Amino acid sequence: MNEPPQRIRSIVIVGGGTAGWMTAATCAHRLSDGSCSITLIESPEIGTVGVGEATIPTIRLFNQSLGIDESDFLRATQGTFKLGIEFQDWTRIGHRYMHPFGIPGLSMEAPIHQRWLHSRAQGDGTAFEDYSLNATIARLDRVAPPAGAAGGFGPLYGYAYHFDAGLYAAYLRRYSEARGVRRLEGKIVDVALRADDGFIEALQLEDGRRVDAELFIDCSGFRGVLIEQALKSGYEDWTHWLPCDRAVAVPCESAGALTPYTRSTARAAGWQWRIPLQHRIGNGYVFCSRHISDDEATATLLANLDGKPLAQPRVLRFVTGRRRSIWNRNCVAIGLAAGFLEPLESTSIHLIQKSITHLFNLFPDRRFSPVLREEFNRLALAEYDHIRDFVMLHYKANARDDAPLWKYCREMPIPDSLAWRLEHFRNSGRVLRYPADLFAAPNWLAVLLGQEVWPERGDPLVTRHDPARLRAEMQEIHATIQRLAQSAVPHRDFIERHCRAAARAAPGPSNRGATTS
Amino acid sequence: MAEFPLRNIVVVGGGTTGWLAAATLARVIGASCPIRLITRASDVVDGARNGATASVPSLHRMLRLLRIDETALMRATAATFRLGAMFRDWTAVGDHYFNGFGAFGARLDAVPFQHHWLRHVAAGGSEGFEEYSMAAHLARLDRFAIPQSDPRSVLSLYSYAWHFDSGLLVDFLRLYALQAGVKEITDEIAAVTLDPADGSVRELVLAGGNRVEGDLFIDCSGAHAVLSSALGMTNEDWSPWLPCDRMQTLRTDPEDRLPPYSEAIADTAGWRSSIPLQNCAVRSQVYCSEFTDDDAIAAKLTASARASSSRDPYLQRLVRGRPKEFWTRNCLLLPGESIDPLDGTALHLAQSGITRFLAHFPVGKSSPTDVAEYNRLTAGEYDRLRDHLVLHYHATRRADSPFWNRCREMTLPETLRHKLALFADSGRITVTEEDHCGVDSWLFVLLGQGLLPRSYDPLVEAMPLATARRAFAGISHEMRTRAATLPTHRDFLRQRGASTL
Repeated sequence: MNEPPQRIRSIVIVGGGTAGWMTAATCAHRLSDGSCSITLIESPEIGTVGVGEATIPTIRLFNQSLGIDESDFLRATQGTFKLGIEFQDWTRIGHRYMHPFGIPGLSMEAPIHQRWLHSRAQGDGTAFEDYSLNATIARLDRVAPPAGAAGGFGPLYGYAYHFDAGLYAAYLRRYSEARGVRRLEGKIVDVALRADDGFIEALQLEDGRRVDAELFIDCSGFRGVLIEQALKSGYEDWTHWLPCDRAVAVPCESAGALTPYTRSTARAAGWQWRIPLQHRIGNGYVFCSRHISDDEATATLLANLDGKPLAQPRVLRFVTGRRRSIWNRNCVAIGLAAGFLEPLESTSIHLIQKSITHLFNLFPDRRFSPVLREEFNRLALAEYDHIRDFVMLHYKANARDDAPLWKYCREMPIPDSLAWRLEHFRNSGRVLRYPADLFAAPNWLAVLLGQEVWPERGDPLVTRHDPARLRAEMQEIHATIQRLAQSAVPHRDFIERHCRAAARAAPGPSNRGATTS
Repeated sequence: MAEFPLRNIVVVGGGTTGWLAAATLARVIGASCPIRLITRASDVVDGARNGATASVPSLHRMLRLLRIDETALMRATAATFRLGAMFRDWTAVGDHYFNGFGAFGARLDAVPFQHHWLRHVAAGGSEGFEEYSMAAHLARLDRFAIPQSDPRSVLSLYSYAWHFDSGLLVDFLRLYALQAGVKEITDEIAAVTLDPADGSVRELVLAGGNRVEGDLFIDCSGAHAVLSSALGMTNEDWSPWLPCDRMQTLRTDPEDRLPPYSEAIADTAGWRSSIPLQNCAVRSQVYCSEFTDDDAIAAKLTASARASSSRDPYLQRLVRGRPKEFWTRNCLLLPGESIDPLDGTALHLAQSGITRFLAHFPVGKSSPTDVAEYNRLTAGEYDRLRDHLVLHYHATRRADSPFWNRCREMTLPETLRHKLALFADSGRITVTEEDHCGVDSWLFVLLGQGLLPRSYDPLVEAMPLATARRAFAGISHEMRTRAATLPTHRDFLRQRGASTL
């Protein structure tokens, strides 16, 4: 009992996209004593899907864990700040709301949404997002000042980044290679399995080289070269819940203000993203091929850009869902090889990061104990299920009457976990919590209230208060948030001063401090 | 102003749980909704008068909510401080360990501390895990002071709770509740009238002839289960896992020492405990009636006490289970007992039941999703606490008695089996944020009861062993040195104005 572990001596990571290099960088950092060789195989012929580009605040923990300097990282990746997501036309055409990071109101202890609901019932027309410091700052195209990690606003303020995922992968590649990760270029043509237990023994490359390892990490994207093609782990298809199955993406020139938020605009057959970077804007239309052709979707996208397109539009196909098992034998799948959820809430990079975290919390030794594998699958798969529910809420709670996709989504059956959550919220305006939920009450509330899901009754502990007192209290909170937001600095100025990328400066006119509509 | 959905609330039972519930409700919603509490004249003279109540650190939150001053509370309830519990003879006769509130070790790197410790031990290190628990260091010296908030100090690595005189705690909470506007009715409940239409409780008929109507009833009557039995609420049976079904308690003269912790000493048919109060010690025997009889236990208890005790031991039956539902129709059940007296969670469960009720306060005459969520969360909390308790009984090498043989050989709940399998593999513990027992609390019991995993997290080896060992020596030296500078528990209580010491 209690003997030293039989340490894994070699790891091979297959795939050099965001997932591959995030995994490689973590391996290099956490296995820094040189006892384990780390090899990443990527094929220059196979393109990477630039997943993400927009992130959620957990990305900061990932970068911090690697000791990455924020300004250096933003310079290297054309990065900008992100305070939330603006949803346009989701509730109905012409409507918009913000899902901000941070918490609404002024304190964690006194949740504000019940007071807001009550105040609204009394005729107060102030939007819910006006009680969010993050949303208020974001609408001003500002970011919190650099004093302290979050501008001294504590949990009221939260931020993430927009960045070029290709540049991020390149940045992490430099990080990894500097710490001993070996990079091989090659195409895998065969996967050799051990006869007795089906574990992966080695990978055969097209040029004849054979690469063996004890632990294999599959970051090969949708195809799942190891986890699916070799190990047949199985896939749970969620298309009936999230019917979009393609995306067309194109970058364009920036014009106008540098908005510190992602924008998602609902369209007839899906939705369009807008992600502002320092040097360009990333755009894409996520759509359902049953309702629109690739050409029509591309035309819609090109007709709705801020500036001139900077590349040929590229169409991607996907099947929303996840593998039944993402740690199978001596192989762990991370990123798109594990599953796909459309980037409506910018969770692709987060899912990569969470799988890496779970893997390193349960890092195996050569025994490959089934207990660790089961625990990893339980935890990592639950992350997908939870985010699926949150993304589905956006589709389910719509009142659009313009297109069949929206009617389908409004009427589609939903998972029990989401149905119960909605029923509870409709009953009393309360947000329930399951263990290990990523999205907490502030996130759910932003979308529920933003998409006008109204509870039947309010919390009696709030509604019992005198309306005049409540009105005064709400005005006071609103005024405080307005005042605090004034200390924020224009987003573009902040980037210029602290983390402007070198050569390729953003083209287009500067429009500092202006608000977008 | 919207109409408040409840016109009034009736609390049944004048023990700690009842008065805590009434006090909290009065404090939070008193102005909107009158609160009455029905107490039997005998409620306050029952076992509560003899007993002591051990608490856990979550109670700090309750004191903040009720704005109760700690010093005033302690003075009124003859309270002492509690850094955790000392367990003797659980693994084998002669063994002991301290399960302290607070952290195991300190953060060395991204790998949790226990893995570094396991590696140190596997490589021949001989220091026990208590060497890295600040609470254990203080307990060893009977010393105490309020923890510091500066995270760089080892004096921030522990937390604390209290031991109260149960009867005085009831008095304190009662006074608080009455001042907050709770109306007390002293009478017996003769009958419970249910609404024929929906089966909810309509009114209580009192022995004195009065009738008490209510929109919501909170049953804190403990073993009497006045309302829950009228409503046919039943229990899930945990007797296969929790072996002790009875407890006898006796108040004795103070000991010479005043330890800032309680003790639980395993015995051949259960265990016995000692809880220090300012002016006395409270001893209990908790046992399984299949393996011993009440008279033998009473004799043991009396003999272990000093001769001056004039009272007879007070006998209680233990529930060994949890309600299948805690809230049904218009009746909320706050059981008011620990799942097992071993962990001192009676107050915690009461408090968490009340605060959860406030978070799911009915929004109308009926509020079905709130009731269902309340039941889901509360059942989960009970089940997780049960697993932590069961571990104490199960993880033993004792083979000296049929009682311990049964404990050792029991079939574990599936959730606990899963937790132990993960630990046994490589020293990992997973908990969720809802868990009352954190990773360290699990580890103290696991390691304290002699369980070691097969191996540990391989990632510890990113740090050279010598570096880790220097850090270990530093932590233990710092804890040891700082512990010796704190006042004794007795002196600290005197400084705080405890006059009876």
